[in-house]
Amino acid sequence: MSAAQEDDKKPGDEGEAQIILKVKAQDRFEASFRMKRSAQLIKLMNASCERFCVDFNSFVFFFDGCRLLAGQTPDDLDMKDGDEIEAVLNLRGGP
Amino acid sequence: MSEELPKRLFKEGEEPQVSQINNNCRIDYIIKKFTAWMPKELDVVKKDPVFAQIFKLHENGLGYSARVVHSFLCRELVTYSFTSFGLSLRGDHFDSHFKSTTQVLRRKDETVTLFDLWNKDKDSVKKWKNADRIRLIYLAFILCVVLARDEKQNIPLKYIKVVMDLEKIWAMEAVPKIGKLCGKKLDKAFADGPRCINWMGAGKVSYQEINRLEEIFTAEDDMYPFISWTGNMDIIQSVDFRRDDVEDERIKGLMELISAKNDFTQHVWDFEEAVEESLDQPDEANVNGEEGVNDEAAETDESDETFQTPRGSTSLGDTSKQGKKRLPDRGMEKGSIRFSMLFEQSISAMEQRMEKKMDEKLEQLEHRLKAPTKEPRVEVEDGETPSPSKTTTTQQPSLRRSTRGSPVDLNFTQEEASFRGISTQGVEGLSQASHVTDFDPSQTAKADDWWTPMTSVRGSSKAKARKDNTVQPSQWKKWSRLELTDEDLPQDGSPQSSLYYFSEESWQGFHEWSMKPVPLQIGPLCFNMTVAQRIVCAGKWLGNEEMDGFMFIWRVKTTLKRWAPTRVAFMTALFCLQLEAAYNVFHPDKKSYKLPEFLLSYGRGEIPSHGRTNEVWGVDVDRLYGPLFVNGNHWIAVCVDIIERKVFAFDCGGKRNRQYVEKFAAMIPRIVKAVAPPGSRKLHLSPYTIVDVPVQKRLNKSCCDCGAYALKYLECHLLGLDINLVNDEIIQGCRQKIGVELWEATHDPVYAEVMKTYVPSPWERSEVFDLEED
Repeated sequence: MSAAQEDDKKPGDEGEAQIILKVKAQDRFEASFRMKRSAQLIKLMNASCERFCVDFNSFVFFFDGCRLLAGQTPDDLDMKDGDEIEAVLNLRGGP
Repeated sequence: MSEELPKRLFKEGEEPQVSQINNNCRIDYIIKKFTAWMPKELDVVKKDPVFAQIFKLHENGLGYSARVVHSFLCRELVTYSFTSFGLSLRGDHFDSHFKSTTQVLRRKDETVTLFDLWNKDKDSVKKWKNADRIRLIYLAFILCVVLARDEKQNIPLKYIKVVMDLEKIWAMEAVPKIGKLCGKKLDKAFADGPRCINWMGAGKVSYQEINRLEEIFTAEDDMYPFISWTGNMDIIQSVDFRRDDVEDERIKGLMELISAKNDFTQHVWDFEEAVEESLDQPDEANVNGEEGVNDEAAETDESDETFQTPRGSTSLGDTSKQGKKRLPDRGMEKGSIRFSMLFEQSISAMEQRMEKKMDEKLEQLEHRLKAPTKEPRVEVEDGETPSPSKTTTTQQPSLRRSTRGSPVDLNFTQEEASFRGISTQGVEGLSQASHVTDFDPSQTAKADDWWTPMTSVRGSSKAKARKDNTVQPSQWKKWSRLELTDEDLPQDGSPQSSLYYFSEESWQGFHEWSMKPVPLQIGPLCFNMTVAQRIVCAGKWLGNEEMDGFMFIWRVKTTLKRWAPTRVAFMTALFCLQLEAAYNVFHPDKKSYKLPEFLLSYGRGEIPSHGRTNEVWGVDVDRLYGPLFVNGNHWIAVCVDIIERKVFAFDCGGKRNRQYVEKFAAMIPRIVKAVAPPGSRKLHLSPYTIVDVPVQKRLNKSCCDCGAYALKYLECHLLGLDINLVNDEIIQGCRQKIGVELWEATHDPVYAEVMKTYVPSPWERSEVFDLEED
């Protein structure tokens, strides 16, 4: 998300609805995050990868069987408080 | 070989930063000298396809630095020298030339200079043979122009050797003979067929006539595919000779066999599938089918003493040359002489056609990517193509949310991901290849098509085949070694058979399950049809889920002492990623680095939580095993021996993996020290030694089995078996065994019990991190 977009959102942000989402990875690496309902999920993805000590892009995130995109927001996906997001590795090797 | 100069000698920005242009004025000087001295010979050299470039530089007044053209021309020269004719005579004839010429050139004070030659030995040089005089001109240009040496400087012997070995000189002597036999005056309209360029012009040559050429050689002559500059096998080891700069282990093997005086009459030659190219060249294809084989063989690296394994040849003819070491080469036995240059024109025409085809394909692909996408899941509101510059927020309102409660398929594949129109969290549907691993997984398949050279093994046809290589369970058949070879099936219990053997009943059960695949849990793995297909179907790439699943099985087997290995721990793919991330923090600032708590949890055996062992590294555990994902597409196996302080890397590709393994070497000793009980012996923090374990060469020809290799290498190391027991012949059996073992484990009550008593890791956190604090 660009700085300009962030600036655009700041006015009138106060009091905006927030949501707590739980991210689960394998081995019960779990973390809960509070974020605005209109904020992009890339924030949560970044924070999750940081918490789980892996590089960004190591995980792919799923919610209700759908892969999350960085630009989506909890509002877009009609997420509810306490919803769980799965963070899974997707490593495929052959050659 | 192009007879025109390339548009650029160096990539933009990579030009040599020379302070001055040197020696280009010498061309003028030398040409004047030789024009006055040996005009006829100079004309001959001017016609040389390689050296003509130098003269063109001069004629066009281009002030190139001699140093700039040096690497380019030398490369051309060397390649040209060894491949253009692909035929040579060797023997006393050639040696005597060399000796006589160097004796003439060499003066009493052991120095030879061009200056002396054209001032003091002018007349004696004129008495030389024509070929030697031409050699002298070559030598002068190589020294004074290409290498920018002064004419008064001593001529090093190696340069004299180079010109003595220029088979162009030989050709000049031999071509009239050849031309007399089979040359015809070249029709000007004739452009596409094979030609033999000689000193008097160019002659059209047919393949039959080339075959006839052999008759002119006497029994004393030996034929070699090219001239060696040393007269021994050194040439095939020369990096200059191989344009691809790849060391071919097959050559090494062959050389060893030759030096051991191996009898090749019974030798079974390797078979390698040639890339099939359908080209519309009926004329050339019909000229002589046999020549196609020979030409193909001619492309392999060969020496004057050694002939490379003929691709596709399985039988050998009689080698009947007397008194000389003559090596089996099918093409030669059948009386064919390989003239690689003769195919040059047809190859360049083929390249042009291929380039054209590729351009067309790229255009089509570009159009397709630009066209509105019609993905089932993502509907783009205004039909615009998603692009990196356009954030996905514009598409949000049109995204449909899936029905709640639909199961999460953790075992999705890249194909599925592409189908869904989903990609990495950062970007999606990039119109061009990102070149960043995993940046846009939806591009993976396309990237292959875009960037894999059409002539390579992984060409488009194979890439397409890979997409469709899923064999339906109904067609699954138990792998049997008997289908592949005539050898007897090794008795059950033999070391190798233990890697692939499983009972008929197990296979039956697995096969029945595959017909009605109910997802089954085994440790961290949800064993469903997608996973089963990935493991069992040849051509599929293994994923981290099944690797981790197998690590879980071994972990439990060790804990419950169900097999011999003890004091070992098994890591997950996630651990390797986490270790890498930690190493990236550690590496720049080692002194102030503090190990994160989760790494210590690994060291105490608290995680991986599936099959949690609670065994402490260095105390209860001596060796760590795990699959390591490298290069964004490849599995290798890693064993960290804490006692021996070594990290073993097992790579079926035989590559060095220091860069990927050094994180283990650096971080594991720190973790071991951190989790060691107080009062334990002094532990060192110095990095472990990295050992790239040598494996058989040319494994994993399918380019799909590295995951299976990694697992089997680990198994061999654990059980004390020779890792070279794993090879391409049995790897499909190994894959099936991996699948069957995972399936069997899902039905094993022992594993069920372990899963029932699963203790969550301490990494479940109830605290909530606020992302809006900043």
